[in-house]
Amino acid sequence: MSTYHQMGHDSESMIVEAQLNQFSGAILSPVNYSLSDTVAQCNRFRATKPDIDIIFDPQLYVPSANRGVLQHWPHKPNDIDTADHSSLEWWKATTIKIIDVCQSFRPSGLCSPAFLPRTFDDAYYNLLVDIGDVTAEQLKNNAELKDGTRPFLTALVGLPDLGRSQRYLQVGSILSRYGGKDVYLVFVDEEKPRNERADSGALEGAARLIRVLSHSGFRITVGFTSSEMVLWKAAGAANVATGKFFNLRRFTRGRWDEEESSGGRNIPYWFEPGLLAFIREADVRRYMKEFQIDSSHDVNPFSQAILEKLDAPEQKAWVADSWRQFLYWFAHCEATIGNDFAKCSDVVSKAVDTWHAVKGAKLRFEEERNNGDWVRAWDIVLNELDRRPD
Amino acid sequence: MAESTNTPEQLARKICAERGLTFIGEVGAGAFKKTFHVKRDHDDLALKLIIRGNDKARVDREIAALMTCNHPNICRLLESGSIDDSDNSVIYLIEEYLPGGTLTEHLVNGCLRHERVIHLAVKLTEAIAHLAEHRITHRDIKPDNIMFRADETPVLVDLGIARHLEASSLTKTFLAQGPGTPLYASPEQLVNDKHLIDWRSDQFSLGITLTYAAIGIHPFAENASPEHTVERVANRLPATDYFKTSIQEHGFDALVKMVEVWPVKRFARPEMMLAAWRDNSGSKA
Repeated sequence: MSTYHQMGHDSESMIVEAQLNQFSGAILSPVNYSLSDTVAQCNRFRATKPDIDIIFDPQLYVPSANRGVLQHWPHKPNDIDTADHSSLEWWKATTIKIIDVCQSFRPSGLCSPAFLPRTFDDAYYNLLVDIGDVTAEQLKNNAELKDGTRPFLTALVGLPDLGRSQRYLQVGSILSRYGGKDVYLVFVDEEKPRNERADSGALEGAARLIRVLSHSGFRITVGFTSSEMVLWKAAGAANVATGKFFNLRRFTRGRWDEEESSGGRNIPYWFEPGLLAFIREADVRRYMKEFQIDSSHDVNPFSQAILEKLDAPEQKAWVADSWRQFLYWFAHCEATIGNDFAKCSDVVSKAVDTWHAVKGAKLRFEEERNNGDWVRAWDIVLNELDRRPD
Repeated sequence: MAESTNTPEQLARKICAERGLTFIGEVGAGAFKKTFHVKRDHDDLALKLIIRGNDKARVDREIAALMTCNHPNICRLLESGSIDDSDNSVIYLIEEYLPGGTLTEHLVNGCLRHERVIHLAVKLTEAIAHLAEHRITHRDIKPDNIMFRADETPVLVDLGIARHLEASSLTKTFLAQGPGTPLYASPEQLVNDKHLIDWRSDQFSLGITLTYAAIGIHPFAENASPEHTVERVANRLPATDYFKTSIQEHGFDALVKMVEVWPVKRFARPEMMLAAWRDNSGSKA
């Protein structure tokens, strides 16, 4: 049971911060850091936190996107924009390069390479499994990495598609062909990073996919998550990963384009666990007049820092605190709920009740999307998981 | 194709003459082959003659699969060759002779005892695990394809539609032949859901076979119509409550998992299935 930092732009400073030490490790991003930066980062991380779990995601997802410094990494194939991505042979050659590159910083985990398809069909999932098996095989044959680097099957899964009846069983049946144990599961949708996922059918399918794979003996790490991680934990996910910016908490096709323009960089958001919502400064003030903020803020040092700033006579920036406030909650909540279904349900039920009270009080938040509808959807998902077997 | 001028037995006798074997007699015939009992010195052997269509791809697959395997519960292929018959070349296989008959024959007088079911399950799971290790799926496990040596060791035979998972050009010929024997086939085979076919399809077929051996019913049968049963499997409807209750009363809980209609809900690894059967051996023996 662990939480991971999903590394993105300007994220490295947080990885070994003492107050965020509940995170077990980091999922490295070659899009944002060069190979030499990564080698230096790993050395620094390990010097500060010797047991840190460093997982490398080669990030070859979107060939045509602006991939930052990934262009200069030796594992990026020169023909990535023109290659036939359905060719296992091409992926084999790519995997060899990835493993070569890993030798210089020796991650404790390596995600198999994957690409974003046009459609999430069976042939795509089948190819992902083949690539995962090839990666595991080649890792096993590498004298330097075979004992210290565990392979992960990267599975990018279309979230809306999982709303179809029994689709999770079809996808799960294909993914469970993977010969290894660890699966790095990333749900892909087109929901804007700041929006909460509220399609109860798709979310239920996703949770059931996690549950059937976990029951099959796979250790699931869900990447790019936000507070909906309570659903994944309820379903049996071993690990969850989140990041500093909103676009590290969602995996959309357009997330690379949003990197520079949004992602929660400029506007500070208070994360209110009682609502499972990100609310703005003026909302926090309004909310606190009528409602008790969640008790978890008492131990969250970043919530305390924000409250002090909000109380200060002169305006002080708290955007950096807001990133950390969420990360702190994320790691501590995960540690508290584990895979205890009742505890996960409690988190969501409490939010449903609070939203009910907020609506009863006719309190409105600045962002229209902050209406709590997703919490109801999450409650439905958990109720379905509880009352109906897979 | 030119008309054959020889009967299968005449061809078998010719092969025996060429290979220094003694012809004993015919022992069985299937859809695609005839099997003869022959001897080399004092050793009993089975001579299998491919009699219909000379489907070279199918035979080549069987030979390739058998050559890859070396397991005490998988039939041993000793030699293969071909003999001219008019304008045709008839393929033959020389395998170990299995005098103990088929599981179908063993079930004529009723279900097997508890400990025999467990023994069969453990040995055939080991055989499937061996195939899976070589990325081979048998795809036609059924009572007719389980035979016994003289010492009652169960042996998996007929890898004629076995699929090497790395072979790329299989689908067309597979479709032409049909997906094995429908009553024992998994849902993914029945609907040719090729991305789902792997060793877990064999697990399903073995589950159906063992259920027959243990309690004499098909897990999905609601009535006497085999077509209805196959349709239920193809539509991925669940196994019947009667099956679930009966099989648990008999202490064979592993079978419920083996015949799950979705592969992800079956045993994920052969060793897990083996462990379940070994644990089972102490339950209601």
